Amino acid sequence: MATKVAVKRRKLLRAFLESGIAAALLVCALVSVAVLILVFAYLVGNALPFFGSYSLWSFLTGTVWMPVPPYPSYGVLPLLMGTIMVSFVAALIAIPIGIGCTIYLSEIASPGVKKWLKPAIEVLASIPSVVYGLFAALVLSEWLKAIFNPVTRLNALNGAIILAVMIIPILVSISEEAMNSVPRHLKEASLALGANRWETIRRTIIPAALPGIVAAIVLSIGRAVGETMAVIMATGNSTQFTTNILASVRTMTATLAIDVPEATNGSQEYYALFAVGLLLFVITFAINIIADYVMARYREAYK
Amino acid sequence: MKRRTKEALFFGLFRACAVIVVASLVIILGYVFINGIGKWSIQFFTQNPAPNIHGALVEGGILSPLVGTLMLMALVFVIAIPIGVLAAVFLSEYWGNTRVSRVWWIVVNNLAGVPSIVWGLLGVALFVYYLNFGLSLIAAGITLSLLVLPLIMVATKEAMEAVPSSMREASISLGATKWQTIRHHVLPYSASGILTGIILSLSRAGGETAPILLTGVAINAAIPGALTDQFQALPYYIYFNATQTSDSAQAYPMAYAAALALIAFIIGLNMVAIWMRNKYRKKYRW
Amino acid sequence: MEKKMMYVAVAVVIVIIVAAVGAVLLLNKPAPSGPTAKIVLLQKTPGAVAYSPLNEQAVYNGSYPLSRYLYLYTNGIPNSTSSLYEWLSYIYNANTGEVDINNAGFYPLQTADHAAMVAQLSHGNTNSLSGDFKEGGSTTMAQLAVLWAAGFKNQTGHTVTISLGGSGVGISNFIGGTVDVAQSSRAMTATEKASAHAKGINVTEWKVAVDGISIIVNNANTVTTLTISQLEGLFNATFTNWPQVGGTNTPVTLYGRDYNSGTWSSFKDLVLKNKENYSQSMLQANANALILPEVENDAGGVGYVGIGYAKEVAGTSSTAAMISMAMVMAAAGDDL
Repeated sequence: MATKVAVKRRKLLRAFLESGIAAALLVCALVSVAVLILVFAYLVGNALPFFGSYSLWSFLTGTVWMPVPPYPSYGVLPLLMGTIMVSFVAALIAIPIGIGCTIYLSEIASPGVKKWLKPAIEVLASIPSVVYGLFAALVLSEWLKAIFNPVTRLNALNGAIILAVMIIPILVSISEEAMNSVPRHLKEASLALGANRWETIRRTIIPAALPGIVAAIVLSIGRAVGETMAVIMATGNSTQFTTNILASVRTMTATLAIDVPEATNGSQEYYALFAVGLLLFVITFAINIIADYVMARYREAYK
Repeated sequence: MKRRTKEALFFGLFRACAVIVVASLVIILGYVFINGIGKWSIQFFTQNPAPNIHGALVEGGILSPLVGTLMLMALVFVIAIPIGVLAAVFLSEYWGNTRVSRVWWIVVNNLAGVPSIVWGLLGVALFVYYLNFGLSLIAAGITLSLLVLPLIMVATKEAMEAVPSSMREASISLGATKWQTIRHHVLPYSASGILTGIILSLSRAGGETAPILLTGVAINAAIPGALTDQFQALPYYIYFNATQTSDSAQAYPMAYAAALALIAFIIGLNMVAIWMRNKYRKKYRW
Repeated sequence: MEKKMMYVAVAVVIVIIVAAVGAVLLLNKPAPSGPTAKIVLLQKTPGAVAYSPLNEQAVYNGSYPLSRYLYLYTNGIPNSTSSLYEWLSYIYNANTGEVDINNAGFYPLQTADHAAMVAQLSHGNTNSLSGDFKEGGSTTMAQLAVLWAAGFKNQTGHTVTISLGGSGVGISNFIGGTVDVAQSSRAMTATEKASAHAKGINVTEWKVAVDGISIIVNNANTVTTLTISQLEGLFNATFTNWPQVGGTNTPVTLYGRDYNSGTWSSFKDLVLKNKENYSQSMLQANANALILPEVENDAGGVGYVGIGYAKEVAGTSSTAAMISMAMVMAAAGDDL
C-alpha cells in the first residue's frame, strides 16, 4: 500500500520536473525569439524614416555617397558595387580552389592526410578577421603592388583575395559534409560498372552532392558579404563608384562601421545608414533563403 | 586523352588546390610568427600596454588586452552558452519537425549570417544607451553573446539531429520520459558536437573587433575591476597598432606579437575541442 | 603506380611554381632606408613665402595656412575639488601637460590663449566630477591623450579612460552622455551645441594645443611647395596629374580621413574654400597613422595628417624647419 503511494508520488514529481524543465527550455527559446525580433525591428525601425525624406530610387541608383551637409547625397551604388566586387571576386577565387580541395579531402586523401588536413582547415576558419586584415594591409598589399602595380596599395583585389582565404574553410567544410553524405552504394555501383575514380566523382558523386555544394557556395558568399574588419583594413575605403578591381572601394559593412558611430541619432544620415544596413540584411537574407531551399531539397532527396 | 591520364591530371589539380589552401595557412601563420615571436617575453605577458615618448602604445605588454579578451569570453560563456544550448535542445526535441520550428530555424540561420557590425550597432543602441550600461565590459559582453547565440544554437541542433531517432524511440518504448531520454540517451551522444560548437563560438567571440569597438573598448584601459568599466581587448590592440598609431616600425611587431598570442590561444582552444571530441566519440559510439 | 606518379608530379610542379613566385616577390622587396615621404611647404598665394608646419612661429601666427586648434569639451567648468579640474590643470601646466604636447609632436598654446584658458578654469563651480572619468573622440589626439592620462595617473592616481572613433564620435558620445569629456580636432558645430543644450549639457570649450595640418607627398615626387589653391585643386580633383602643379609625371592619388574626423573637417574648411566636397576617389583612412605608409608606398600619393604624425616623416625635424626659417629671414629682408 505504502509503495503504491510512493510510486505515485514519484511519478507526480517526475511529471512536475518534466514540465518544469520543458518550461525552462521554452523560456530559453523565447529569449532567442526576442533577440531575433529585436534585431529585425531595430534595423527596419531605423531605416524606414529615411525613405520618408529621400526617394528609394535615388538611394538605389545614386552614384555619390557623401552624407555631408549642406547637400548630402545618399546613393548606395558605390557601396553596393564595392561589396559586390569584393565578394564576387572572392567567390571566383574561392570556389575552384575550395571545391578542388574538398574533392581531394573527401575522395582522394589518405586517412593519414585527412587526420591533419581537416584540423588545419578548421584552424584556418578560426583565425580572427582582424589578423587576416593585418596580413592584407601590411603584407598582401605589398605583394599585389609588386605584381600588378596598382595605383593604390589598398584596393578591391586586396580585399577580395583575403576574403577568399577567409571563406574557403567554410566552403570546404560544408561541401565535404555534402560529399560524404552521398550514399556509398552509388559510388560503389559506379566503380563496379568500370568507371575510374575521377569519372565516378565527376558523374556520380558531384551531381548527387550538388545541392549541398551549391548551398556551401551560397553560404560562403553570404559570409563574404557580411565581413567587416578585414575589408576595412584591406580596401582603402574610398567612396568612389568604380568597376576597377585595382581601385580603392568601400563596402556596405565598412560604411556602417565607419559612419554610424558618428552620425547624430535621429538625423537623416543616421537613418540613411540604417537603410544601408537593411539592404545588407535583405541581401544576406536572400542568400540564406536560397541556401536553405537548396539544402532542404537535397536533404529530402537523401533522407 | 586516355581516361587514366585525365584522372591523373585532375587529381593532380585537386591536390594542388589542397596545397594552396594549406600554403595560405602556413604563409599567414608563418608571417605572424616570424614578425611577432621576437616580442614575446615574460614582460610581454605580464605588463599593461604603456606609451612611448610619442604616446604610441608600443611599450609594456599585452596583459590588459589579454585579460579583457578572457573576461569577454567568460561573459559569453556564462550568458550565451546556457541559453543557446538549452533553447536549441528545446526546439529540436520538443518542437521537433513542426512548421513553426522550420521557420524558426530559417530565422536563426539568418541571424548567424548577420554582419558583426550590425550586432555592434544594436549593442550600442540597446545596452550602451537605452539600458544605460554605458561604455562598459557588460555592454560588450552581452553584445558578443547575442552575436554567438545563433551559432551555438545551430551547432547544438546539428549535433542533436545527428543522433539517430531509433535511440530515442528505443528509450521511450522502454518507459523513459522525454527529459530522461534526452538527458541519458541523446545528450551524451551529441555532447562532442555541442562542445565543438561551444568552443568555436567562444573563439569567434574572442576574435571579434567590430562589436567591441562601439560598446566600450578603450585604448588605455587597465584590467577592468567592475562590469561597468571599460576594457582593452586583443583584437582591438592588434587593430590599433597595425593601423592607428605612429612609430609604425615599433608598432607593427607588437601587433604581430599580439596576433600571435591571440591565434595561439584560439588554436589552443580548438585543440582542446578536438581532443574532447575524440574522447567523447570513443566513449559514445553508436 | 603510373597514376600515382603522374599526379604527384603535377602537384609538385605546381608547388615549385608557387614557391618560385613567392621567392621572387620576397627577394624583390626593397628595404626602405629612411623616410620615404616628405612634408610639403605651403604658401598662401603664388610667390609668397612658403612655410613648413615644422616652423612653430609660422603655425602660431597663421603664416602657415593650415593651423588649427585641438579642443576638449566638458559639461561646465569644473570646480577646484574635482578630478576634472586636476586634469585640466595638468594639461595646462608647462612641466607636465605641455611637455607631453611637445612629445606627441604638437605645439602648446601661445601665451595669450593659455592665459585665457587658465582664467576660464579659475571660474569653476558647476562641474564636480570626481574620481575616474571617461574621455573619447579624436584619433589625431589619441597619442597625446594617452600621454596625458599616463602622466595624470602617476601624479594623482585617477584613471582617465580614452576611447577613440574620431572627433565626431567623441562629440556624439559626449552629447549622449557616455563620455564625460570629448576630445576633438575641430570645433563643435552650432547644431551639435544645440543638441547638447537640449540635453541639459553646458558645453564648455577648451583649447588645449595647436596643430599644423601637414601635407605629405612621396619622396620620389619633385614638388616641394604648393599654394592653397593648388592644394584645393588637388583635393577636389581639378588637378589629376602631378606635372600640373609642378611635380613628377605620375597621376595624383589622394589620401585623407573619413568624415568622422576632425582633421577631415578642418582641412575642408581651410582648403576647400568653395564649400565643395573632396574628390570621391580619395581614400578614406580612419586614422592619421594609416595615411603615412600609404603615401610612402605610392609615388603619386598626397595626404594630410596632423603635425604629430608628420614629424615622423621628417625624421629629424630640423632640416625642413631650417629651410623655411631661412626663407623667412630672406623674405624679412625683402619686406614681406
